[in-house]
Amino acid sequence: MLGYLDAGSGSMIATAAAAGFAGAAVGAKMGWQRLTGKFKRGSSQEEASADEQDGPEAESATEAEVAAEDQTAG
Amino acid sequence: MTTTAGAVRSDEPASFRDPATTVFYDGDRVLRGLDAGATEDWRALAATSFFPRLVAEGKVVHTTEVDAAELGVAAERYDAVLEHERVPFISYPHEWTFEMLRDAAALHLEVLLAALDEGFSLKDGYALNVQWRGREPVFIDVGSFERAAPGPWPGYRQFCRTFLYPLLLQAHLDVPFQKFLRGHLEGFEPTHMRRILGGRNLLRRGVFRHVLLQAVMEQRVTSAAESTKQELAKAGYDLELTKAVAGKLLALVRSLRSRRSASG
Repeated sequence: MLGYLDAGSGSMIATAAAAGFAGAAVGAKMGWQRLTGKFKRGSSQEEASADEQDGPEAESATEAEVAAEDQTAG
Repeated sequence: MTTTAGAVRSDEPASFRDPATTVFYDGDRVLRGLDAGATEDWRALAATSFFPRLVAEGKVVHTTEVDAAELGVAAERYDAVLEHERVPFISYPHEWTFEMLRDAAALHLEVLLAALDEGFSLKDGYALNVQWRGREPVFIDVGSFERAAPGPWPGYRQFCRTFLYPLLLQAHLDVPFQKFLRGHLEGFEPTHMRRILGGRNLLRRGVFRHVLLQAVMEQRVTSAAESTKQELAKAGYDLELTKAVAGKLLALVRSLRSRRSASG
């Protein structure tokens, strides 16, 4: 819990290096996870934006189909 | 405020950092009110073997749980109340000698290492957690003990600022820390220490690891501390690494000497 203390995120990462080789390895692993996480987020955002682009067209197409069906039924 | 026993009750104005544990006085008695989470931590702490051992050795202030109802403390205010042994007087790190600050730093780390062995940690690393009983340092912030979670020790930065950097300043540059610490009660910033201990001083013991690295990382990393702690824990930062850091810090602190003190 870091409720009342400014532990400092940079200091926390520096602590890993201060722990020696094992700590440095943990710090490097975290850096790698951040890097790969950015790529994953980047690709998922691209997918999301592609969905958004498809979305309105798909919705309007569906609405047009429903309207055509109503007219046919009416 | 006056209690039923006629004693004057007052809150400690300096006890505002951790709202989970608040120090107050009842006449001459020093008391600490705990919230629900802190009460759980305290009862787990009291059941450990290291805590009574440290108290018996005089390294941690004597503490017992008292009946809040007997004190007339409103039950809705605290879940439990502790009573601490009263230390003779409160002093500040900028009033201490180099050796006093070094011994206090070493005690703080010894307490942390003993706690880590049984799955406990300290919430902070503030120099004021230690006071003096005669010539012996004593750890007084019992509210700082908590059950340890994976990830780095959150008190590392504060320990460096209030204990380690003042010691490095005097040990490596022969500059008395007291005047500087009096103007910076929260301690020295890593970036300032990096400027002070630049050049060939970077080769001196502890400077690269605890000053330069920390200053560089503080400038480059801007993510929230809580999320960074969780990320490091996920990457495998466990209590063994915290023990390694505390052990290296303890060896460093014990090795520091002041030329000023040696020359009398």
